[in-house]
Amino acid sequence: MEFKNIQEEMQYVKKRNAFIKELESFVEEKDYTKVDINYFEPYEEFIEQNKRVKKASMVKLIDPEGNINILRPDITTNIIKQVLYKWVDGSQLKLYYDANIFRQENRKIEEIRQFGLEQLGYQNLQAEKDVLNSLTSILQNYQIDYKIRMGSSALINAIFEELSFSKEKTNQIKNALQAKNQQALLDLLDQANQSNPTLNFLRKLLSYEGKANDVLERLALEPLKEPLQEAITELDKVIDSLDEGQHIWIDLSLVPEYDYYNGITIEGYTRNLATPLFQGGRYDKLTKQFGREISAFGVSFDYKAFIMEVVDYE
Amino acid sequence: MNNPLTIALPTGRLGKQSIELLKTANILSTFDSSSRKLKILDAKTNIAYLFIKPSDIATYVEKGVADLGIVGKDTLIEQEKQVYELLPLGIGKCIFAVAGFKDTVLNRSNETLRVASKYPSITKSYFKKIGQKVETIYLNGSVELAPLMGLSDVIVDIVETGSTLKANNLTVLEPIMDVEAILIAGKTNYQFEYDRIKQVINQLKEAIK
Repeated sequence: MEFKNIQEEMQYVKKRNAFIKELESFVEEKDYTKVDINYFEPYEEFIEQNKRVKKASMVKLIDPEGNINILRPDITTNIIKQVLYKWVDGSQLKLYYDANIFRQENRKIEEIRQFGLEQLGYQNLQAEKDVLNSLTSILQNYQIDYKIRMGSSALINAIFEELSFSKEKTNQIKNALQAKNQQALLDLLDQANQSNPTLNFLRKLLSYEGKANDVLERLALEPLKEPLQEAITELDKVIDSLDEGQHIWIDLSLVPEYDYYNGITIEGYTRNLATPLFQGGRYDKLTKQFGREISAFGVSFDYKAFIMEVVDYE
Repeated sequence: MNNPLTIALPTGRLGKQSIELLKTANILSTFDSSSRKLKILDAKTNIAYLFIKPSDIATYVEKGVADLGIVGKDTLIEQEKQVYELLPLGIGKCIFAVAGFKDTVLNRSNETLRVASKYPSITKSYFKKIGQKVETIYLNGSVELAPLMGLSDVIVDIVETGSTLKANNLTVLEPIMDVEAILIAGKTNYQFEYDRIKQVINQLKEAIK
């Protein structure tokens, strides 16, 4: 963003600050509390938990004892670690943040500002409903033309658990799904057992995208094993509970970069932005990795892009 | 009328093949091959075409300037762009291969193999897979000259007919992978132009059959 002079820039900054205040009071009225985020993560632990994240993209720092740390590439892991060791059974938290993440791209360190909502300890469906309805009302308040894609990491995880491919093959298949590359998917599954229904379902997975109701109708005809069926039922229930459920686009090929999701996942797009405006999902599995499984669901915005969508700087 | 759907086409030989394919699929109605325009609109189908250097296609598509693009897998694989790879098009077929003088040994245990290529990522990942240490020498063209002049031991390049290799006394030592042109889409535009993109895919599928 370029400004002719400092007055013009300050005018924009005022507008932007007013918007941030307005958004923060909107979520605070819904009982969310703002949290601070730590800057560092231990490198080894982070890559162990997130195998598909590019190691080269992380900003590494070595402390005086020789331990490798990274500047936070993600906020969610950070929040969970802060909260979990003080957790008491039955707690319920609604948290929000406005913080930068860091990654190395194009030979420089990028700071990406994120705004996010997280619900911890709330009942499964309730959290999805609550967070996603707040999300859509925010988007509608600011008249943003958006599309939401919803997938299920529960389904993806169940498929890969049953088929137990090697790590390398799992990553290759996930990359083919992410690129919607049907040919690569078929090539990768070529020699595998033809009569396994889960495998046949995986071969067709890319065809399951479209308006929620249409896709759910087609999915009802699939003979799926129990954990896969459960994931579809969950997806169906979430969509059914949402105010804007009929506008959701199901896309079962949605494979998030982070492996810690274990329920529904979402990605949101807006016209003027080539990358997702927001993304998120259910990540109880991450909390389990830190010693205690609690219900956890959250979404985060690319905040700089969101502010540019909303605040007029002309 | 809606905004036109925009398709980025590569300049050069693959571009000509793409135009033929689009005509067969009834996606492109007329095309004046003598025109030097970089952007044309086919009013009948309401599709705009951009003519772009092959290595820039994925950038236009990823950034959402073009809704779709036709690009060789060889170009795409080096760039790691966030795009959907929707359909292999059966044109621009060739292979990625390691080439050099006949009888050149690729597996040299601890000795470093010098490889000249326009494709450093492919080169590194292939030799990592077979466990051979390499020094990659990045070149922009006429890669075949490198082993002739002793700049490298072998090259990694795309091979279509093999005639350039043969003319320079070189041969394919090891094929790496098959390559062809594919239809790509950017993630955002795919969501917003879904119906029109699906229509193009279906027509192309019919034409390729």
